[in-house]
Amino acid sequence: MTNHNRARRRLATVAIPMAAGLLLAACGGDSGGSSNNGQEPQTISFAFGSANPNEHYFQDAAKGYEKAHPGVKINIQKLPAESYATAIATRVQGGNAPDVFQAESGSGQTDAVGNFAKGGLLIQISDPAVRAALPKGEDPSQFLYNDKVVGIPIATAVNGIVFNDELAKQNGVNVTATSTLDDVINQCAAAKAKGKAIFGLAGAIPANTGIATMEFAASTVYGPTPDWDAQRKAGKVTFAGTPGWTAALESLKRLNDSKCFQPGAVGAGFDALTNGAGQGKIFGFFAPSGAAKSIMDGAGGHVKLVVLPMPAPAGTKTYASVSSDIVVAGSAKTKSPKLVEDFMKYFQTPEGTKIVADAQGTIPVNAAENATLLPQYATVEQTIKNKDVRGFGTVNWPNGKVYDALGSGATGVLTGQKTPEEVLKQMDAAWG
Amino acid sequence: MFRYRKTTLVIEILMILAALVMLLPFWIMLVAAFKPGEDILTTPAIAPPKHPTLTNFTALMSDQTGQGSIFQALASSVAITVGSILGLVVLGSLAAYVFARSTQRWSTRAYYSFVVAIILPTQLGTLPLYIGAQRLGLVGTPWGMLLIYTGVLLPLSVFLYAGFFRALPRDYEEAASLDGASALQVFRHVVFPLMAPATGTVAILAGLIVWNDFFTALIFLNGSSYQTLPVMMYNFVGALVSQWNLIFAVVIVSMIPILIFYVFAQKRFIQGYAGGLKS
Amino acid sequence: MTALEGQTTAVADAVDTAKKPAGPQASSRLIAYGHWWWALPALVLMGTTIYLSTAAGAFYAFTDWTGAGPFNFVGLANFTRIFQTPELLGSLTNTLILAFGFLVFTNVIGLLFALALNRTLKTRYLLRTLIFMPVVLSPIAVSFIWKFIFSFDGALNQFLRSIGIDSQTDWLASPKLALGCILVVMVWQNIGFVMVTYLAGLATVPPELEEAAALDGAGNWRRFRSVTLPLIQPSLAIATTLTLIQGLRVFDQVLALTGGGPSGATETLATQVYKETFTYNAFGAGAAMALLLSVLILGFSIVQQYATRDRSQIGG
Repeated sequence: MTNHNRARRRLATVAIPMAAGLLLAACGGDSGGSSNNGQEPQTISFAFGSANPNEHYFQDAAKGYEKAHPGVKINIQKLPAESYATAIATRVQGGNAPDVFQAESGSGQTDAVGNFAKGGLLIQISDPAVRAALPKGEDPSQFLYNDKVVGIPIATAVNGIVFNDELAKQNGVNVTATSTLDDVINQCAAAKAKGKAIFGLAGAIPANTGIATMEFAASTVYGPTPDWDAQRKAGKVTFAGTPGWTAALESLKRLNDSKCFQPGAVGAGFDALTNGAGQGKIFGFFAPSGAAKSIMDGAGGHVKLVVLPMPAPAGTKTYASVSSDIVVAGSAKTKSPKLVEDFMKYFQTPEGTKIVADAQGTIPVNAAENATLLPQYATVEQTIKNKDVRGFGTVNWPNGKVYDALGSGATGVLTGQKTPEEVLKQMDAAWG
Repeated sequence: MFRYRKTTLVIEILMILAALVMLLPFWIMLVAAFKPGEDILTTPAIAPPKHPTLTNFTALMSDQTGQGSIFQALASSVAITVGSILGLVVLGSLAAYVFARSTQRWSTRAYYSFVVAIILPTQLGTLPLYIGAQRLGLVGTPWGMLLIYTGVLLPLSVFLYAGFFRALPRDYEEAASLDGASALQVFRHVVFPLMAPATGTVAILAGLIVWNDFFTALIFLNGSSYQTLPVMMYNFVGALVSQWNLIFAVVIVSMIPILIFYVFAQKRFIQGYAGGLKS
Repeated sequence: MTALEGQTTAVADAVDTAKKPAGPQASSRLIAYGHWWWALPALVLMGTTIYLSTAAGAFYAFTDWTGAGPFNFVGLANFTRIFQTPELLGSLTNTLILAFGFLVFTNVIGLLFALALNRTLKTRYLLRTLIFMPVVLSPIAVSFIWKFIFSFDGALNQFLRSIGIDSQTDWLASPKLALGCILVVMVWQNIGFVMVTYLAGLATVPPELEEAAALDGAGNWRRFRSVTLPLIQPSLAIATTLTLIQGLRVFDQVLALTGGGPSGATETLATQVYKETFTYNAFGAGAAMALLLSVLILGFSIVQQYATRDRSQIGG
């Protein structure tokens, strides 16, 4: 037993300095995030993700704000879209957040404001005017935490197909807002024969396979059951038990099996979409409609893209997925809380809204009913007017894991690693 | 017996071929970095550039991707590596000296605590270290990295130094003590200079580990203005997606410092690895 | 600190396999030999960053901590979840496949290279330098070169097409091939390191002994088996333990080449630890996986110590 005692004593001698270190660590915890009113630094950092070097709407907004507020400097941090969610989540949770950053509304993605706000990591805006200016007709809770605004949406976008209609027609392919999935699939072989693909897919990026599946789900799940998420939350339904989800994944697989995607689609990254669309190798891809503008700009104006809803499988009515899920959020740890709040509010001002909508090619938040949309939306205008729209489901999901499981699972369905049922069960498990 | 025979020639040729195959990836990278973007996919990957260009490298200097400057990352990597090596050399040699010269029981035990720490996997400790550093505000700063690298690599340093100190006869210290030198003076002016080979081995082994480390730097420094080269490179590649000509320009620039070292000190590097492992 | 483990552990193995560290010599006072407190900074820093943090990590493995706020003890729930979730179990399998594949291939190729470059060859010093070169480079950097080689329009498919094979293989996107691709990159980068370890061992083999065996009429294989191999036993122990540990910890190459995809087919324990902890903020679950990884590493290194030691006794 002496051995034992000796060991214990030895442990004690090592443990004392360590415990001191821990105490030190614990004490440091509360000191962050203090504000020195009035005299706060006028330089803030602003981080966002980008899949396309030609995108510049966030830069434009920052420049616009700097111009209107002399003396303010906004340091831009443009991060790769492929790993943006993980990178920003690590930084925000590590206490190393940029002052202002792009995030997702709700709680269903890794970089969603709901998850950050829970840890007290976000600036909370109590100004009622900010709350009043949130998108009407969308669930406000996705932008709120404790009834205060934590994320301000930058625009409203259609989550659909960014499509090069002209090029498609030149190659004898015709896809419209009223096309069904079978209409599209029937044309895939013809396009492939000409060395083109109707759609591009970034199969290696869960966010891309994820959005594609969600776009199908807008019709197959949320079309007939708009409150599906609420029912899931209440435990009344499951992913695996809802045929609409199986149909969504199977629809994606059918597109892949029918060679509607470019060669190497399963392993492709975002570059395959931007390059492919720019070079005319693919006619369309699945993305928020804001992606259209930067590609048109990047191609020097000789590419015209339109926005289409995802064609629903036979027997299902097509709904477009419309959402304002991209938001800006502010770090609670910022040294310039007032400036950060003011910059966030800028995205609600007429100037800020216009700068983003123009540069991104999206719909300004709360655009008037009769407002003229950008030409690329002509194809979906009727769908929107008919109110055949649904939101982007993930915002109501409880964590980022469910959507990741969908995105990475969808890739698995395409490679044959997984069946739709396995993926949906995995999502149910991730729901927790 | 070990004369040069026909079979030796065959082996020699085979080995040269094997080495060439092993170096092929570097060649592919090198030629791609001097090709204009449109030639990357249209010309064979191993063909030398038809229209050699330096634009890929000049593009790096102008920081188009918003990832921060490559020079900043370079400076950060150098500072963190040099700082860690300094810490490891100073703290490690002092501790090892005491352990090697003292016969007391605590010193033997303390020494063994370092030896055991060598075997202990560090994976598990990373998470609490992260939380601790976060509380102390050390995440995103080079200071946190210095402390962590130094702490985690100290066992290696102490172990290598202790071996050398044990082999050092005490005559040096005794002579110097008789001349009236203090313990610190003896250590600084007599013992430490004799440890140059140990210091070299510690610097090379630990320096390489710190310089090339990705995981720790990714967790602690990603997105900060102190990103090290591997982290910056990771973000750069993400931002450049498949612009391989630009990616390889970044990769080449990141490799140059260590390769220069290697060319001039390759014997030391190889001995450091083989010797460090065997001492 | 992924890279750290490999090297440091090698040293520890060297202690065990070569010789026990010589205890402090018999007679000594501490006069002019330094003061005890000189060791204090190193002890505290090392104790905190290694022992304390590891102990804390092991503690959190049994909780549902999210990295902030209160937590509950959940017993073994984190561990049962690992073994009940196919994705996590898959990452365990992948880790083991990579580690053992890495162990076998690097050691076989590294030993062959070392034997070939041990003596006689005119270009041996140059070749050693060249083959060792990838070792000093960062794994993340060299992984990007290979990512280009393996990509759909990359060098490998280009080469295959040029010799008349119409390869439509997307190497890194294929669930069957992606893991193999990662293994290739790992092996390629570390052959030089293993080779150097064996060369150091081979340098201790006296040529006369081999000559004598040759005069006795022993063939190449028998000479290697009965003379060389027993003498390089310490190198073998170091190289195999080290490669196994390095393989178990693989992270950089996976993140750079596939990011764990397609659909989790190349996820390893280390990448899952990273995801659980830093993406999903599940510190408890991440710590449990890190603990599992640590236990694997410790367990395998102990087993391997005994395995290699026993053989050396039989062989010697």
